[in-house]
Amino acid sequence: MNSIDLALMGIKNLLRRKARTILTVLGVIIGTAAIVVMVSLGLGMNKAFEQQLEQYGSLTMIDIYNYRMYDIMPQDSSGSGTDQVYLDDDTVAMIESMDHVEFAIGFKRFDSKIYAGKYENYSNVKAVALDKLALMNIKLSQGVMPTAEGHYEALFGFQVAQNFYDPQSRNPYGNRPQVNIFEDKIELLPTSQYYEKRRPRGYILQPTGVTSETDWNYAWDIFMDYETFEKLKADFDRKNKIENGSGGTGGSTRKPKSNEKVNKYDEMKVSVDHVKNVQEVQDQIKAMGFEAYSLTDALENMKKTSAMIQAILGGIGAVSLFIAAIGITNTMVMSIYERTKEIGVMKVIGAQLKDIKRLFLFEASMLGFFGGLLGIAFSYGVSFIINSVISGMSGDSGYYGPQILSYIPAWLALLGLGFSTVIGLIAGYYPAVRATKLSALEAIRTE
Amino acid sequence: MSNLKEIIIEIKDLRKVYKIGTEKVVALNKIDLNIHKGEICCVLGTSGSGKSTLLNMMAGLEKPSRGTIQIKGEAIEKMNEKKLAKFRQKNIGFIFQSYNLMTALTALENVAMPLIFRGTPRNIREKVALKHLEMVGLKDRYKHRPTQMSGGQQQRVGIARAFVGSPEIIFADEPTGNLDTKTSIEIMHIMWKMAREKDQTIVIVTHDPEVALYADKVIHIRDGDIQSIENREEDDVMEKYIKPYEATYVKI
Ligand SMILES: Nc1ncnc2c1ncn2[C@@H]1O[C@H](COP(=O)(O)OP(=O)(O)O)[C@@H](O)[C@H]1O
Ligand SMILES: [Mg+2]
Repeated sequence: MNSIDLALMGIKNLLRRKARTILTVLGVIIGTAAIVVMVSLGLGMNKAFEQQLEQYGSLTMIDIYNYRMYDIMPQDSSGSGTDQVYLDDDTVAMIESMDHVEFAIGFKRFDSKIYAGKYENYSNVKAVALDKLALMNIKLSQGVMPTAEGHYEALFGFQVAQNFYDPQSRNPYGNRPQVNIFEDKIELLPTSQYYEKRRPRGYILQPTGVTSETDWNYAWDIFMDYETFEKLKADFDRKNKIENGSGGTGGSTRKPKSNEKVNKYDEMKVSVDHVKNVQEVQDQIKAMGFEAYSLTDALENMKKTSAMIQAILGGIGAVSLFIAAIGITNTMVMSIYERTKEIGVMKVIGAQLKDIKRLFLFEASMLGFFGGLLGIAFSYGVSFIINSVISGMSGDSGYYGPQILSYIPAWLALLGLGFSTVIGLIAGYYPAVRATKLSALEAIRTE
Repeated sequence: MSNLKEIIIEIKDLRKVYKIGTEKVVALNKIDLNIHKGEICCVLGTSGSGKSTLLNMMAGLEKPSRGTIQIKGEAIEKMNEKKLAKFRQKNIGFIFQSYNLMTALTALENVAMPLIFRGTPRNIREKVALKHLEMVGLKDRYKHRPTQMSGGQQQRVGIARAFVGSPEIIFADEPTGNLDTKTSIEIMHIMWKMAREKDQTIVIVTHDPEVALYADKVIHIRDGDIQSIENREEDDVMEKYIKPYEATYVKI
């Protein structure tokens, strides 16, 4: 018996017993929907975690710091000389040569002060190679990325732009003045030193853009071209007779001797091609002797928690599907009693045992399949309602709250469908075997 | 004349005993029987004489208590269920007293059923099924369902179904048991004609002596034993028995 004929016969049989088929399928719908919705809640939770983490930083970024500063740890201390590592362009090149690394970028940090008329503000200037900074795809709310060609061009973190204060005011941090960094004159002093009366002349910056409010990673920084800022700083130090190393927290601007290694950067960021490779790259960097951080550690923990919750939720769903499976078995067994005569006749007129078996297995798996199909459609509906209710509740207040609670990716839908079909198949196995064992003679015997 | 033909069913020392609790019922005592290829046989006996038991064992639906049944040289009592199903599909057609058509299917679909199990492609099996419906005179009823047909028409569909796969042997258990005399004649005539045309062997079980008029060989059975076997010249059956018998009913 070929498969198409078998399928047609099976479907005809199911349609012949509409009421029972519908009721059985209904059980499977509920079972599948229960399991899919439960798992979708777990996945939604995962996604919410990820979204939350994204606000703290990109999941594919690794931050590198070098705490073994060479001026703290003497270079010739007991054989650790070769151990000494530096954040410099050699390191950048070395990390960039690793597998899965898209690029590495170094930052030099300077505590600085910026002025806009009578208002002032403390800020971090981060000196960086601007062409590399462009690779980071920092989201902007206004303007464009700065270039090295322009005159003191700078990218402003959105908090920097908003946090000017009036030192003369009684309540300087109370009501923040509105400073338009694109129109007002912005002056920079590359020092955190406090000036009581007169302050030295600063450098007029040309802000080209402001970072997006949705990304807090760069909120407090000002980004400038590395070379440009070095020159600016050197110029400032010379004019104000500041000695080496007293300028910013980041330390020295003194010119290194030609083959002496120094930390050209205070921190580096490494972009990895995929989240799954972050841990591997991070371990390699640590092995080089640097401190490396990424959000994967936090993510791992969160995922563990949510996997456990998912297992519990999935378990609840599985119980309903199990009950649906019993429903399928029951329907098929009933169907055998009803069709005893028919099965017997089929055997006598030439049906093979495997035809009978396949027919019953097919009918049972169709109950599972259609139940699964409708169950998934139903799950999408339930998921939509849950998410609508959630977003309705958080409304305009919840910026931090999860955007979604239930998430059904395509693979979950397909898995649910496959699972319900397989459950149908398993549930149909016992009735199918029973049908083949039925005595044809008993079946055709006329009363 | 029939002795020149090969033996297609050979039954030796066949016995069937049913046990009901402690009581034993001897359905068949000791049967020895040869049926030749192309023979139209009739097992004639009263109710409870063991006819159906004999037929069911020949069709492999029941195992004998003792003895052997060889069909085309194969001992079918030794076959397992799977092999029997294959054997039946290939060699045997079956006609039931109560027709046993699938009520959900049309006449054409019912007739095509054995071909479905053989895996015959749809277009071919519909053509063959339609041809057999034509042979039983129901070509224009091919779309009707069993519930829309009379008993005689249903049995004709049953006959078409038994013949559709051109099996070498056809078994029929009281094929006219539920029909009036006139319809029985129609049915027997069709069966006789179809089997003769293709030299198919047919074994009919009946309690009706008039049905036995259509047979080349009549096996009289009583209380589980063969009483006598009546052999007729195959060429005589039509002229000597069937025609005179049918003539008495033509005017009715
Ligand atoms: N399954 C069975 N269990 C017990 N006794 C049976 C069974 N089948 C048939 N018999 C008995 O065997 C005898 C022959 O039955 P059967 O072959 O059906 O007769 P027939 O078909 O000639 O009317 C009867 O006495 C019947 O009661
Ligand atoms: Mg009988």
